[in-house]
Amino acid sequence: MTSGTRRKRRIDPSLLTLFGILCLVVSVVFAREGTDGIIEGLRSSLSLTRRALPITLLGMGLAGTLQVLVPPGVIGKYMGDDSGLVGLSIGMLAGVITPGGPYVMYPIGNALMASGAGIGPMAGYVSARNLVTVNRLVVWELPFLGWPFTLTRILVSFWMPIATVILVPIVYRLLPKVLRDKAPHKKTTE
Amino acid sequence: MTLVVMAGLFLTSLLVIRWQRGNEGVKEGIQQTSSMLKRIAPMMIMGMVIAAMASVALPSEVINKWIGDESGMTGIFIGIAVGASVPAGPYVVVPLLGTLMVNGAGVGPLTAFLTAWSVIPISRSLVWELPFLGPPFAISRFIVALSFPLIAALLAPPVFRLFD
Repeated sequence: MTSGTRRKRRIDPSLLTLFGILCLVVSVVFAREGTDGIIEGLRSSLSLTRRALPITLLGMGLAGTLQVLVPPGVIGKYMGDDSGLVGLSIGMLAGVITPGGPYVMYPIGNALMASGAGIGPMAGYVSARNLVTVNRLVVWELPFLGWPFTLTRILVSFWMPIATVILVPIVYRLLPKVLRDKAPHKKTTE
Repeated sequence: MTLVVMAGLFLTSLLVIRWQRGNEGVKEGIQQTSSMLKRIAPMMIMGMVIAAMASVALPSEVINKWIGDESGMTGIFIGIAVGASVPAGPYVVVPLLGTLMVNGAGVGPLTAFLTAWSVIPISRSLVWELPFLGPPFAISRFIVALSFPLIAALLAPPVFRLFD
């Protein structure tokens, strides 16, 4: 738990890792193709960026407004452990429309849990969010990977949120009690 | 086309916020967006450069050999390993996958990569899921999802052939 507390206002570790990968790729390009390779790489990065920029900006604008429109505390109340199919569907729907990155989704998830969301609906939320986000689909996957691949990927993974919803609560109950007491909704609920 | 739809959705959401919460709400929405942008912009730029450079650094023969259509289980497991360990958002992963796809990566390994990145991301689970959703939930979910990328990767090629 302590490792999570230094998150704030520090250089993002994933930013550093990315920078490392970037340096690695650039040196490989330089070693193989010299300056010409670097120039070619930069030129195609520019055209990639130009292609993605307008829709990314719109996507992020939409992500911001959605967060204002749909407060998570209200939704969590309908996602309790005995909310049944309704709770599961709300969880998955919330996942599909949750915009932004992990820094949006996990705080929302935490708020959902704190306001009473059960393990099953939460599992539905997280896996739906991870697998099919409307925003990611429209902004990234369709333009870059094309519809045949995107459709294939959705078809071979649509069962996953359902499987998680059924299996995660079972595995959860099998975990030792000491561990289960560390769940955020055991602490944060008033 | 998508641009027009997105722009329409964005404007509609702004209008709804304006109507429900007034200018205050609009300001809050813009604030959310700009803080997201600030966070993502550097990573996005790096992601684009990585994706573009990777297409120069990795010649098609190499991609074909390791994660091509003929690479079998090796390709799938490489896809899973790389996908689970890439600590980046869609702005890095999807353009990179697009580059790999154009240069001869197979549908199985690509699906393995994308699915592993989606459901068993090591760094996202450690940095975000564990502290925010608690260890018991994060651990149970990770265990359940562990087999998903492999299953998806095995199912994908026959499905893809239907559309291609």
